[in-house]
Amino acid sequence: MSDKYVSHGNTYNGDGSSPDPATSDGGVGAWNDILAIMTAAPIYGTLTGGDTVHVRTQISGTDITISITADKTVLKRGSKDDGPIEWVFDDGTVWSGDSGILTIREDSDCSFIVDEYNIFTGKNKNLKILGNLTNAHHYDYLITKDHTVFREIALETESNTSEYVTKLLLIDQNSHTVFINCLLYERRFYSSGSYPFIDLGSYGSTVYFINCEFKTDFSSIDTPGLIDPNNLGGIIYIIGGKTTGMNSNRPFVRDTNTTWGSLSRVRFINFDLEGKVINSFGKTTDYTTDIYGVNLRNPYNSFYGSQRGFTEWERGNSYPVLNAELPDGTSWSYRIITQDDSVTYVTAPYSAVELLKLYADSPDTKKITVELLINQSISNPKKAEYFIEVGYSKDGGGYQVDVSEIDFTSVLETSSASWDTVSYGGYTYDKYKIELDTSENIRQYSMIAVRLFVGRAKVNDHDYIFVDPDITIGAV
Amino acid sequence: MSDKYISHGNTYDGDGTSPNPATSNGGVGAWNDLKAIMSAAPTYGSLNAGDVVYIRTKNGSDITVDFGSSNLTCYNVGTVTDPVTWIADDGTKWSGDNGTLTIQFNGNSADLKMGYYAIYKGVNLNWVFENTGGTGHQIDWLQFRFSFVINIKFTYQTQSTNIGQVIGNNSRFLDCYFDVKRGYTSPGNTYATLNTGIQGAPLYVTNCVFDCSTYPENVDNYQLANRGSYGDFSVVFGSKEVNGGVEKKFFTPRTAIYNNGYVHNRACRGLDYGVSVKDRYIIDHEGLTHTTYSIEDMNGVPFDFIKEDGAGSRSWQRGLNVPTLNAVLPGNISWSIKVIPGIDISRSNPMLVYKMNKLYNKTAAKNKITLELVIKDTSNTDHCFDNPKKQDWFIVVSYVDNTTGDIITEISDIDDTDLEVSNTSWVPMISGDVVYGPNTYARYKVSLSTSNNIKENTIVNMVVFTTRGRISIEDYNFIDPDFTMEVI
Repeated sequence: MSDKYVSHGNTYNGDGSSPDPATSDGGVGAWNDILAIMTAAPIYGTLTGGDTVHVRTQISGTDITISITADKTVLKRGSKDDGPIEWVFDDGTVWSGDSGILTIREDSDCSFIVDEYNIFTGKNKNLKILGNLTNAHHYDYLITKDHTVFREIALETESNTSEYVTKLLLIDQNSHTVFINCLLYERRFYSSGSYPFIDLGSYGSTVYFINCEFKTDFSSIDTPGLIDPNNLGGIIYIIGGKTTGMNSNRPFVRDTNTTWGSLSRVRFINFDLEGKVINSFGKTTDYTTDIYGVNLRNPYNSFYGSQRGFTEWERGNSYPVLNAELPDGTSWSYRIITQDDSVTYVTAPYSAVELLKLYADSPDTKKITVELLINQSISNPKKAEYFIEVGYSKDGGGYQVDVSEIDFTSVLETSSASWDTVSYGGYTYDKYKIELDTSENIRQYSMIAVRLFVGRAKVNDHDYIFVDPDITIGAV
Repeated sequence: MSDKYISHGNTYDGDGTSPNPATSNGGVGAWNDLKAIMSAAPTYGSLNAGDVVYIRTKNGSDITVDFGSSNLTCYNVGTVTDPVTWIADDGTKWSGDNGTLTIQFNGNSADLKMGYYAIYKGVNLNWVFENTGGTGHQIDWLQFRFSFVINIKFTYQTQSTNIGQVIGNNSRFLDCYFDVKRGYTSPGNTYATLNTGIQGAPLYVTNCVFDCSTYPENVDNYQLANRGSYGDFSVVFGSKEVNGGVEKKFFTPRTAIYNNGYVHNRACRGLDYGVSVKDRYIIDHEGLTHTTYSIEDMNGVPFDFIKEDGAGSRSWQRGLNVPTLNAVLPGNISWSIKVIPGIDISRSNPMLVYKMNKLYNKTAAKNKITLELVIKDTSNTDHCFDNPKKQDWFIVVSYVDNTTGDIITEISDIDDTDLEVSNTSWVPMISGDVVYGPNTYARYKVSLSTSNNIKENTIVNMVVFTTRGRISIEDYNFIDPDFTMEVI
């Protein structure tokens, strides 16, 4: 667990034990070749798991740039017991006055590969991994393996003048990778749809983007998403952060499909997204990628979607509202739309939303009511097509789930609830409600969970349903 | 879309249009062979999409139908818009004959595939599927496909050499009862009482009972599995395991041989394990794969929960006298979150511990946001939790900027300086130490000051990470879910 030093370009290659220049090869002083140190054992001195390597970013006022024209792999040296190697890109702390930017510039279609147990710690994006291949395909600028962390670095694509693949990042299969306060900058995009900006690899990958900026100069909407979720069982967390320069109609997540194995999960938390979450989900019941987001673009905005439908609330979109209010007094509701009948139907309903409400009264049975608006184009909505499961803790112990009537002949009960409007997007909506009486006394100070299932497929893209999130708990 | 009727065992095979017995083959009256109607087009009359088929359960005595011992794929009549509904009659159509219908199938070396797009509905468990197999090894003795299965009982074979599971394949099971019986001694990772069956297939289980009373106590067996391997998910609402015993985990685990992205997602609410969840940690699930499961309102107790994945475990169970600080549940119950990081957690592989929210209802201002936690005090014994640093516990805080309305995200220091010591008054404390079980816990806090003013009546969100993996399953940390916001 030692501090080591690299001052790329020094005359002599030291033993890495000091930031000062060595006066002879192997002498006390900094190593002088950053790529050599990253990709092979040092000729002089040692580098082991747990060490911190300080990397100079500027010499005598000039930023350091490293050109690579073939794949380069930063070796695995650390372990769970020893710890990772941490590469700290110096901001003038070690080499006073030399606070620059170290650029790893890829001058051909090659990759910078970071193997396991490596942490890259920049300061104000003073490590830049940059593509520099003009008008040619360039795949996988950065490939990350398991146990890798990147903090405050920048990944940037080149500026092609026409369409070429610029696949910036590939997360290796079965790996965990974390990006914190990083910039991912896309200057050009390949619109064929086969090469996303960020790719999760084959299966089992987990990646965290914490407070990262996804920047683009390319505002066309006729492009696939920035992130490809088509990973078998992977998960992407996007926590904080934002997009900049993104067309409002452009999707962030690439459409899921079957060819690529869409079995991953995408989770947004507090993400300032300019574009859309996704254009569409793959329409097959065997593939279950789902996307969940809260505080998307605006506080309280939420999105949940899977192959059978999606549910969202977006401030300012003038959804019809009934009782539910946000803490700032804004009335709100959920908008729901299902997929077509290739994937959504009565025996394969969309699990649209779970509504929770605290029950603080004395134990008792209660009538639970969910209020809905359904587009008039959806005729004769049946009770079997819209039903609720109501779960609650029983007063005497244990848990109970009651289910509303699953009836294929009866139409939903109409409602007289006072929605502020029954119009949305030029269409008129009918008022319905789903009710059930609990079979058991509900335990005091417990949560009532109401799950709404929709088994009626959409026919038109405007076949929306609106749901009041504030369920009613009334007397039986 | 008509009502149809089956009265198995009648003398004549009617046209299915009436519950009454036909007086001649093809005459008006009930069909007389359940297996024939389920497995092929009727000889007389018709069975169409959207039809509701009532099945007699008793004709003086309960009705049992032998579906044989050969592979049998049932007749597909239903469609996605018009499923066929099969209802075991409770005496409504055949007055006074409220019995139990049993379909027996010898799953020794064959499987029974029910028709697509159907509703199979019993009343008070008056419909039983019974595996009468002996010593065979048929993996899937019964399969449902894109169907609702309601109020039906499943009786398994008893042999320890037989896997014999029911496959869900995009179906939902409601109010069903699984008389598990079987005690397959080597279930591995892919076999269980009920299995999703298909890659990516969702499986919904609501209000079901898994009765393990009759299989051996010490057999490591499972109730739910996701054989499809990649990305399947099970959603369990209510439901309980009866007499499960500590060795009978509800979900299949993950072991090294299934290490390549075999990810299952299990989301439960109200699931009753029947025993303390402490005996069922996710040790089997740790490592590279990201199988997750969560149970909220665990065992029916409000707010009790456990959430585990490849990174570790987080849980709260009332009544265990764990250390608490500020957080209070409805009903005035102090609580905290027990955190057990996975053994694979490290600086290069952080654990997302928990996400929590708090309403900010003060006048807009900058705030100091603080997470309080206690860490098992190992007294510098070269333990994995010794000398915690700021890089070992960090918080990501998001809030709404009062001026711009933007969501701002900020992160606490991630460096190798010591984690800040706290002097808050956790309960219980003895001689200045927080205690739980035989161990003492040291108090720490993680703070950051917001750069901007937080907007009034907005939510402040905190995501907690740790990078210190555990050694022992009893290496606990506790965090206070009620993080503090202090105007600065």
